[in-house]
Amino acid sequence: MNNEKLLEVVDVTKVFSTEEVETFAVNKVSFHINRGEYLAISGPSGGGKSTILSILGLLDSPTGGQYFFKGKETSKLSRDQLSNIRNQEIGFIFQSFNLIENMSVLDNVMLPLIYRPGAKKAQVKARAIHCLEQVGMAHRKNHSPTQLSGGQQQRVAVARAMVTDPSIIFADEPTGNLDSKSAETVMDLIKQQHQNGATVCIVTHDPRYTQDATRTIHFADGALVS
Amino acid sequence: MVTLFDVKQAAVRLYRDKKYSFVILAAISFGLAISLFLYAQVHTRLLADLPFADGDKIVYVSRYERERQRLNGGLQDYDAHYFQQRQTTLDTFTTVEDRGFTVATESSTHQVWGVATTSALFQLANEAPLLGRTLLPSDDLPNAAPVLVISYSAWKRVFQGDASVVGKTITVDGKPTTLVGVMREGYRFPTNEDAWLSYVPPQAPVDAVSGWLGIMGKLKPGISVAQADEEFKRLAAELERDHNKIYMGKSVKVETQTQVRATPIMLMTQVMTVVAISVLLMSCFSVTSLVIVRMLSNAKEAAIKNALGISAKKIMLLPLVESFFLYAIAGALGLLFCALAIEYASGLVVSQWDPFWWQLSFNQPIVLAGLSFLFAAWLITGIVPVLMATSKRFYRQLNSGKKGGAGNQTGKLMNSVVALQVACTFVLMLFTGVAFSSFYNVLNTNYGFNSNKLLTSFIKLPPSKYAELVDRVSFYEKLGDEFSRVPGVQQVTFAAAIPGRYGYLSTVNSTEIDLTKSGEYLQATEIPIADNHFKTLGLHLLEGRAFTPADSESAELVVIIGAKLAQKLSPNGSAVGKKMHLNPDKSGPLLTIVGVAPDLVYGPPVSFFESSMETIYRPMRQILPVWAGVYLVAKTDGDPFQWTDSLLKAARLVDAEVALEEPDSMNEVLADNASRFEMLLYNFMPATLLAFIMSALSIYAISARVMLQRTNDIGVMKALGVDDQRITRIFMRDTYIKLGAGLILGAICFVLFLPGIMNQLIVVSYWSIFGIAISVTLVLAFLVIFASRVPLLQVHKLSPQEAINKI
Repeated sequence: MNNEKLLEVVDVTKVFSTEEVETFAVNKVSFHINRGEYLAISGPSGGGKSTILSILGLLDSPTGGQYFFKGKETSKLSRDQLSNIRNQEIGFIFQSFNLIENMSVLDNVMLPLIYRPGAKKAQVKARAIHCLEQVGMAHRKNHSPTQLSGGQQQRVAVARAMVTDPSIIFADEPTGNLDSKSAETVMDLIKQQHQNGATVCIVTHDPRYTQDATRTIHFADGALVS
Repeated sequence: MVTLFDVKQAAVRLYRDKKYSFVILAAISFGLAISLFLYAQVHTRLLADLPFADGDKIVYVSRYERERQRLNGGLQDYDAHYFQQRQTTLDTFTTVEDRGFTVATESSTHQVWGVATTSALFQLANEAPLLGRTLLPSDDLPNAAPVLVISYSAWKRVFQGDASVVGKTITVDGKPTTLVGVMREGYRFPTNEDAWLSYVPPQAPVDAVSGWLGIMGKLKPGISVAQADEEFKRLAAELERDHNKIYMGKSVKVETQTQVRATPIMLMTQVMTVVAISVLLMSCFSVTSLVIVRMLSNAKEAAIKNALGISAKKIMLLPLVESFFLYAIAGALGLLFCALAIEYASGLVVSQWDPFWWQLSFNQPIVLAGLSFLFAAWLITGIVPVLMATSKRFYRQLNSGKKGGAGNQTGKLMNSVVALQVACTFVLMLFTGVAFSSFYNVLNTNYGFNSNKLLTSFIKLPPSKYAELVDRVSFYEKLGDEFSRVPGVQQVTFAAAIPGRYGYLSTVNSTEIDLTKSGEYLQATEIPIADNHFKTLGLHLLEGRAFTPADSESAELVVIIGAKLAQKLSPNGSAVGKKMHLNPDKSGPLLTIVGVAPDLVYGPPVSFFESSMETIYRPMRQILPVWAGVYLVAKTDGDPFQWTDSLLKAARLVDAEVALEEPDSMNEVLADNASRFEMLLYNFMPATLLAFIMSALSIYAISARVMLQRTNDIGVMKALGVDDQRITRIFMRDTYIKLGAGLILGAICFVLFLPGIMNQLIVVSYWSIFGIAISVTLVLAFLVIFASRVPLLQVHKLSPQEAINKI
């Protein structure tokens, strides 16, 4: 771990508006994540954890404030540039796995690499199989995600997140839909990624999984409380 | 750039979702095939040029009735020479006169339809003959011996394809004529001719009745049809000015030869164009709706890809590749179906009487049109759904767990288009229902007599040989006697018109009551008949007597009239014994009414209203114009076709130079009147069926989309105790609105179109149309409600929890 800032949010706000009411999901939040850090974001439900993670993962844009990713102000970037960052720099693990049912396990893992300019299919395939081997799912590479258990699906999702060798892996309640044994396995895989040098940012409300983090921040009512 | 990965993914998805792929393939391929088949007909009839060099420059000059703004009648001999000497816009000038020729060889006699014309007609087409030669300028010289050129089909039919007949002398209309050439197969210029007789109209004085000509020519370089029309109209105006009594109200009209034939069927082709476009648009819309539903149900997949950093452009590639696959396969199938339809069904929609260049073929313009349709449809149904499905914020898709997009509304535009589709289907179904009903009615029309066991044939006597009335009557009497002697032939009669076929028109008036309306005389079909006419048809006169041999040329002029005319001439008593005026506008004779006959239907019963045409019958011994053909009608003991050969043999025994048209049963002749409705049905039924299915697909797709969007809501409703019936009512309300709007719109469109087509296409009463409309409404309503309930039924099968969790 070093003190080089990988990303930083400054006074970031996210407001969800309806005709009658405005809800501040995230309210003037500022913090940063250093390269190599393992940051856990915790807090009660509705506290804004997942919202800030979606902003950090460039899945959503803030209503106000600034977000710097590797020193670049993200609001100034085009949709294609944002896609490019997500593809090159970010790995994402969702609570509900979000594997594509119509694709095989291998195709799901290959997906982030296959559309890269100049991607060679053989190399992409080898890399995807390597990642599947790391998560212990290579033997199921030709199966459909629907044929896998939740824990297995999440392991495939971890492989997909690491296949691009990203600068940072975001995980949004990655154990939320899993039994305890599967959850342990998935969290071990994430921890292993951090030990291998990856920056990790995880949202969880389970205190067991904040212990491995190098830093934990708490969200409540859309604000950073500690 | 499309990668192999995209292609593989697209193929796998289409294979896995077989039902979806099949429905899309069927919708596009059948929609394309039916639209193209209709377009091919429109193209053939309206856009196809004559198959000659400069075919688009060949024009036809017709007689034009200025007041009624319609083509009517022919040009006279005097006109032809007047125009030829003064016109400056046509390079090649020729006259054509339609004629039925009696062609007699040593062994047989035939009727052959063709034109009497000059050698210039062959210069227009510039086609070499298959055998011999065409007409030459030397054939146009005064006192040149008559020569005949025949078509390939006439050569096969009359001469059994014997090449040695070229150069031989045959008899044409009783005159020795040299057969000088045979044209190639398919050449029937200018319309659908089988024979071309050398003929130059005589240099006649101004006369209203000599000749029944058309003029043809090729526009000079740089001259437009409008300029030629202007010149010929100016020359016609000179004639009208100089000979006002003969030419009053008469003008001419110059059109290209293809326009002349296309104009009368303009309404029909416009209807077909609208149907073709509608069917294609409906197919596109239905497919678009289905693709949108599929895209939206796969929207989460797009969101996942986007989250993984795959750009929107690349995400769009997969559905585009998918739709490209589908369109490529469906396009090939559609073109194949269209080609098959043209190959096997063209005979059903193009008759042998249509112009020879109306050859329905699967040619380059049709393929190009098909590919253009396909490309446009692919863009619409491929790109629009992709844009719609990827326009929502993807993160909401990832977190919501909902399929079908974030919104809860189906969109006003899509609802409007569905209503429009219902309207189109309603109109198409109604037209098809009316056409089918008309077809049935025409087939079952009561013409006023029993047509069973009747054999009929048309006879046209050679005018040169039978110039005198007494000779013509004598021929028919002899033929009647000869054929009556054949066992099984009960009676033989002759008439200038038979029920179901038109006679010629005359005007009539009473000597006691003025029957004119707005200065116009009452028109009546005038039919010269033999004495035993009514008896042979199995009819009894309502009053008076039949004609007898005493009603000769020198005797008092007598007439038998139809019951409707009798009622008009003598509303308060018997018309028998009274006098009536024939052709009062031409100072015609007074006729004595000797009988009243039951009314029969002459001509095809294609009018929406009951025919107002009156009928008068006159004895053949007193009137039988030299130009008029005559129908033989024979009452037989069984299937009339058994006596076909006997009839031809009998005619040959009486006069070998007289030709009879191929004998036919009276039932078949009457059934021919339904042919136009048959053609309509062949065109409209597939289109209507497809429109019906497309409407169902669209409604299903819209409904499925709503269900995709609101399955979770339904789960919540169920969890709160709302029963299925209540949920159904809530979700069916939109369907009822779309159905109602579509039906109202369709009804308005139909009422607007009705006056334009009813006289040409419809033979049913208002009550029948109303009944058909009610039936169509019920069927369509059932379809729409059923299609929209299918997705709802699927949701009803889910438990509340399953519905809430449905992803």
